Amino acid sequence: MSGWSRHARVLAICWRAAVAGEVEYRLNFFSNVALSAFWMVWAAAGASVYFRFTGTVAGWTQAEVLVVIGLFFTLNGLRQALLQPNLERMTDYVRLGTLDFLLTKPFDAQLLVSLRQVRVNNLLDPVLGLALTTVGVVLSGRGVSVVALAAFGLLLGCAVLLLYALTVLLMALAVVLVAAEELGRVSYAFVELSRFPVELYRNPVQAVLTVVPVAFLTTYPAAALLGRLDPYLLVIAPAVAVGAVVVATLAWRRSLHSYSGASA
Amino acid sequence: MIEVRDLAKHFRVHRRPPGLRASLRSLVRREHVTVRAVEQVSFTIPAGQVVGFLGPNGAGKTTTLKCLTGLLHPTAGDVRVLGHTPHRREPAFLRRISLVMGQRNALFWDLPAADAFEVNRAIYGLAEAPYRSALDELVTLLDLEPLLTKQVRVLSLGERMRCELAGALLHRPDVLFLDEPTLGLDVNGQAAVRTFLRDYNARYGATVLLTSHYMGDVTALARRVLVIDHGTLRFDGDLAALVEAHSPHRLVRVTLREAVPAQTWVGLGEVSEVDGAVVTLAVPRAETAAVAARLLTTLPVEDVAIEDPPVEDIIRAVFAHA
Repeated sequence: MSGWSRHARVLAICWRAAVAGEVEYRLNFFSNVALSAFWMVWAAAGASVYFRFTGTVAGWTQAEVLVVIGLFFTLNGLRQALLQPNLERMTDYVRLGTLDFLLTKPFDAQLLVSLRQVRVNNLLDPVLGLALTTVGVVLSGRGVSVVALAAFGLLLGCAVLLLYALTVLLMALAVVLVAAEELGRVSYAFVELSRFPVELYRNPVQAVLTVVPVAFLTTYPAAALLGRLDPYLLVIAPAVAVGAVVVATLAWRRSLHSYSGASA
Repeated sequence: MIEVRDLAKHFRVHRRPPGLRASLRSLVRREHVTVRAVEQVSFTIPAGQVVGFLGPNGAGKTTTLKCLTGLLHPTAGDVRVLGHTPHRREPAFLRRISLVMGQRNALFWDLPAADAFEVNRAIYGLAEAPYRSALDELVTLLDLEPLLTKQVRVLSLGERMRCELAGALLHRPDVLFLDEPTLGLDVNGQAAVRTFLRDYNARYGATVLLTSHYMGDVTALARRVLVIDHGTLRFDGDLAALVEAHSPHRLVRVTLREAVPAQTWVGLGEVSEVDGAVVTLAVPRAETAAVAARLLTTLPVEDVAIEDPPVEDIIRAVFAHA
């Protein structure tokens, strides 16, 4: 069995078990979908306040802002479904010694601890988010070319990689700090900042959010979809995303170097 | 197989005196101390040997074990296991070892045991035939059939440990590190694990390094012991030699048919325990046979038994001397 198929098989078994465990609670699942839809409508309605007396805010129309809000829900859904459940368990992995076992297996421990769990209740959130994004694109009246769609796919992939890198970075921090239950809030705060286009923030903040890089989460993918992206970002975004993953991986390895286990 | 030379592992830890003022001061100025968990430890274990690793809590056993499994980077010294440097955690090395820790879960907690084994199969990249053969054997030896469909988290401690052992051995490791494998198990559970480990070692010639607080584990499985205290190795050798070196006495247990005066024992040995008609004497090793013969010929004796003191007492004596 090759390395990739081994890794895919292990994750498939873990996810299958997670799905089997959670679908037993159907009410939870459907109430979560309803709640997510409610919050999305709430956010869209809230944004309409800004456009009551003006057609555009910082160059974004209401429909275009809906595209960004939809992408925010897409990424936040992915975060809640795939990343957050793993981050939440990290402290336990360290404290209970589970990490000891993961590290003595011939397997990529980073992959296993960062992607092993999945929260089924949030798996539909990205679909709802993409639905709102589609509505925003249609309402904007802009046609979407194949090139724009490909650029959007690339930038959305970069956004997912950025979120993944942040999660791994926080996991590395959890290894060092051990008691780090609150780290999940950091990743939420990071995504929360991307709820609106970065141009809506005042300039010092806007510059910071571009560097941090919150702008790469929703603003740039939305711009790609709407055909208003600066082309150089098609090179910058992958470089930033890959760079972030490399830095996070190095931080993870560094944290393992100082790891002292549950009891030593 | 396992070569450890001058191993040292130090931890830098934050020390804070008690009290609010000290807490506030530690926010701006931290005092650190270096804890020397392991210092100048050297030993070699050849292939196929079962070695008991003994020491009180905090002696450095688990730290050494973690250095050998690659979890910790040694501060100094050389560690080679199966020709590999453990902390590099090369897949070729990790495929040939296994770590079992009592009361910790290596198996995925939320999966049924059978699925948890499947995960291990995928992790180790085992082909169907060897996996099935190893699993069938382990299921039989550890009596796992009724447990396979249950989630690991709902199993009793004893059941879980049997599953943990199976999960750890599916890939037939050459070196097995066992850290308190019978911790918390009842007498039957302990016996089952010991019997299994002895059989496994005999069948596959696996090298085993075992730490345990239960001397029963050590006496049942290991002829050689390493004794560690305060991070340094105090003894490395035969368990029997350890007993002889640190216990100049043997225990002669006499069961009497009728009571005898207390002064009867003067000159025979030191009375260490009196329990009704059973009197236990501590007798110098060289005189044990002569004393037993005298007891049988001069006293109303129903039974005489000669044994070594419990290993726990001997280990305690080793640490006391240290």
